[in-house]
Amino acid sequence: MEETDIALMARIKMGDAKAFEVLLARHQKSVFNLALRFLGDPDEAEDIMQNTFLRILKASRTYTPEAKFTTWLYTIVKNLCFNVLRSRKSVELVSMDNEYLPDLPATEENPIARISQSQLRETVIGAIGKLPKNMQMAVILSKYHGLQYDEIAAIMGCSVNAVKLRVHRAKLILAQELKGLKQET
Amino acid sequence: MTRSMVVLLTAAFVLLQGLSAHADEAMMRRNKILWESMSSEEKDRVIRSYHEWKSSPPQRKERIRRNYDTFNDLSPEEKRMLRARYRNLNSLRPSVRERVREKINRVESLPPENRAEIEKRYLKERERSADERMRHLQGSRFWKDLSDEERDIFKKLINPME
Amino acid sequence: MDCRNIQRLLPAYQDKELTGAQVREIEDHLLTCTACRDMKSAVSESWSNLGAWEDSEVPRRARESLMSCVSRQRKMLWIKIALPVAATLVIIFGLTIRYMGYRNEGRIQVPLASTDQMSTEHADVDEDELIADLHILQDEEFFDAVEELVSIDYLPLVEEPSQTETDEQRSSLPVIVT
Repeated sequence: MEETDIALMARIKMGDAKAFEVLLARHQKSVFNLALRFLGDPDEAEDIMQNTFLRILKASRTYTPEAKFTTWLYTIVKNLCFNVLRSRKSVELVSMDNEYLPDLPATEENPIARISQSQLRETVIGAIGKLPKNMQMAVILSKYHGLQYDEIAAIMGCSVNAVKLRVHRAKLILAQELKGLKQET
Repeated sequence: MTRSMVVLLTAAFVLLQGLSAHADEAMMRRNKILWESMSSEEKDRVIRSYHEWKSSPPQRKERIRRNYDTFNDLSPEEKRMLRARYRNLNSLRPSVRERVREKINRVESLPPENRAEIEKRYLKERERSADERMRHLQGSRFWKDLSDEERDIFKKLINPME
Repeated sequence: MDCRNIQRLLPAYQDKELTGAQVREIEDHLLTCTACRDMKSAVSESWSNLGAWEDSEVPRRARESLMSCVSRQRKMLWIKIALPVAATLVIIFGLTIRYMGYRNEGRIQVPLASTDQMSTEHADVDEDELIADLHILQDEEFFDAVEELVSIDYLPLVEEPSQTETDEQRSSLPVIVT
């Protein structure tokens, strides 16, 4: 049976390098992809991935399992990602630190457009990129990491209702942005 | 009224200082991790750059720092485009690159007010699609004055992601 | 409820988070309103379309440099433990020699030469200063060129008068004659 994350952390605490490698192999992809989707920059995503696991290693000596390991892991990634945004520019703070919710675009009739997988991918990246940063993080955690609203709330340090509001609003915005797009078969 | 304005401005100043200190700390932490993860060859290369950087004139350092901020303010797509432009420019033969640079320098040698006007017009241009911009480029006087070889080069520089 | 309010509630409806009365109202509305039915499909389809942005693989070098950093940190930890122990042993050894009367000064030589060589190589490197500018040092030539690379965008506009300017304004625009 696969060893749990918490058991691996206990072994890392005792200086077991192998356990760290197992933990890294298990979670590096989701950490990297969360940072990549949120920041849009592979170099920065690599930095975040490395920084996250170095923090885990450093904290392993005092680690006591209070919540799910992944909640702690994603909280570290989220904090590092927002630090990068803060260091990038102050403009993004506007949509990052408050509960800014953009107005929904007006409903329009869109004829169905058949596009290639790569075009659809680019359109999806563009549509997610337009969302306010807090909303983007909630969408990425929900859609690509399959997290429940309460876990996202714990990671983002806000209420479950705030997460629901963000995800619901994002779904409506994305529906307008991606309306009528179908992948070619 | 005046007193509250002073209090407000002081608070804004303190907040901005705090944000900038936070940004500096975050950058320092990231750089530290990066430095620690470098191999000794990479470190030697950076140390050589560090010596050159230290002996650079202050104006050059100031310009590069400003450029770094400009680059950071761009979207990921624009960043990728600039990187691709840089690669394309560096892949040119030195003599061709110098000729191309002379043309590019036209913009840099414009008086500040004219340059600001062009930048303002470019912001509107950005809203056009890539196709529309290409059509606009091909109809410009700048394009008409280029030789066929130069057109190939500038096509790759202006629109390197094509 | 009008269409706008119905549409606002569609994600919560799909998440099964509405009261029984709200659900009935929405379902009744959907039976007769094509626009809201379309919006309902658009919400689920666009959410499922997000799947087109698939996961990326972690670059191998990222994992490798992390592991080498970790192993260096572990070595540093050993040095941190071993260094005080070694220092204590050296002091005890030195004191023992002194008190046992073996003061043969001519024989003991400390190999300073190699340490000196090491320290002169990086003597004028202020590591904090270097780390503070590392993001620039890594790619200095590129950042030096950024202004030039950005100005390439303006080239098609340099010699063109703005489309929206009046004739009077046009005459004041920069025109470069080559």
